[in-house]
Amino acid sequence: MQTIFARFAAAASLLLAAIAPFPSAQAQTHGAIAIHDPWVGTTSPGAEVAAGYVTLHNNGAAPDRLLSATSSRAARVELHEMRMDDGVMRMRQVHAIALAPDAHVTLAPGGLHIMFFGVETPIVAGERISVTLMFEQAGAVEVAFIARPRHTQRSAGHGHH
Amino acid sequence: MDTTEQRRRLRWADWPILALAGLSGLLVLLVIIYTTTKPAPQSGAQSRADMFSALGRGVDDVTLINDDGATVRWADLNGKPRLLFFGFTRCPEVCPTTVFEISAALDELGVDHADVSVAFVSVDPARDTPEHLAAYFQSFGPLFTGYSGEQAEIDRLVRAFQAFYEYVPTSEGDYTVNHTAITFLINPAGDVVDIIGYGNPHDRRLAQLRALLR
Repeated sequence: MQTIFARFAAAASLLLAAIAPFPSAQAQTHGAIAIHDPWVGTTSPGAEVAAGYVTLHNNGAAPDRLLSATSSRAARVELHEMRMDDGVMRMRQVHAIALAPDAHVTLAPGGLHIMFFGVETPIVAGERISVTLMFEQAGAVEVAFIARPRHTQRSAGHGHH
Repeated sequence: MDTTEQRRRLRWADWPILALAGLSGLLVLLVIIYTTTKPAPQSGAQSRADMFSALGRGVDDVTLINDDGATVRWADLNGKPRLLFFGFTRCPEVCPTTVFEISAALDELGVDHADVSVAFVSVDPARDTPEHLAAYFQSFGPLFTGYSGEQAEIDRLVRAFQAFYEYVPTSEGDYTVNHTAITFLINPAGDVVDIIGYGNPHDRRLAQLRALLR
């Protein structure tokens, strides 16, 4: 019983860690779209690619779509979706990300992301990457994606304790 | 009050206690079944090793180019425990995450390159030149080596580990790579003894690495 309670407590704390907002999370609103915690993983020299993540919420009554992204920090930016399939990482380009009224869409490790190609120099922690997001209804908005190491993201809750 | 009546009354009054006793008995039984059927760590490790015994066979003579530009045979890496990951440097998430996580775990275990090596074999050797891989792994110290090489040689290694990769077109004639995101744990004799799946919890990864380095 002791271990069951211990496991439950561990699972609960993991869950809390997972849903707790990142302390330095940025938030902004553009029209009906709320943009929360835009961040990009730092990169190693020679990586030449990076992935950006953000949570979007459509506060409007009409559906919207994220159509594309651009950034002066990358030669090309695409919307991508990653998935794990029996030990194989699979990547595909998506042409739009739908935002139904009142829907939250989270671009996060393991799933949807903004894919930066042709990143000439490494992205370092704390760097602010300026990205223009283009929405079908809400139009274009410039968002600063904050660079942070991705391993702190994944080890949150079960790291050094 | 006759005895039958008394007995019946007793039974009705006692059924919640009897149910509770029954449930407790069931719980005890489940605990016993769980503890007796749960494999002991040693036998578990043994059966896992058997599962992986078919992997990495017949590739002793595969040649790769390390990130110093030197040619090495796969069997040259025998002699100390080794981790193997197939990836590419233009990989946005699973490769950097795996490299960061493995690096952090090995740091925590306090091992150095005398104890273990990490072989990152590129499945995009046309773009991942030795110079490129050297830059990529420069900040991870001497434990990590990036390997490029002839595509046919890399393909032999990929097949031997029952791994997979494929090129996927993106925009403007560019491509990305779908690939196996498993870290293979290989003993000094060159046998695969365990694998670490992408997203394994940190503590489990640590335990698996500890078992390899024991």
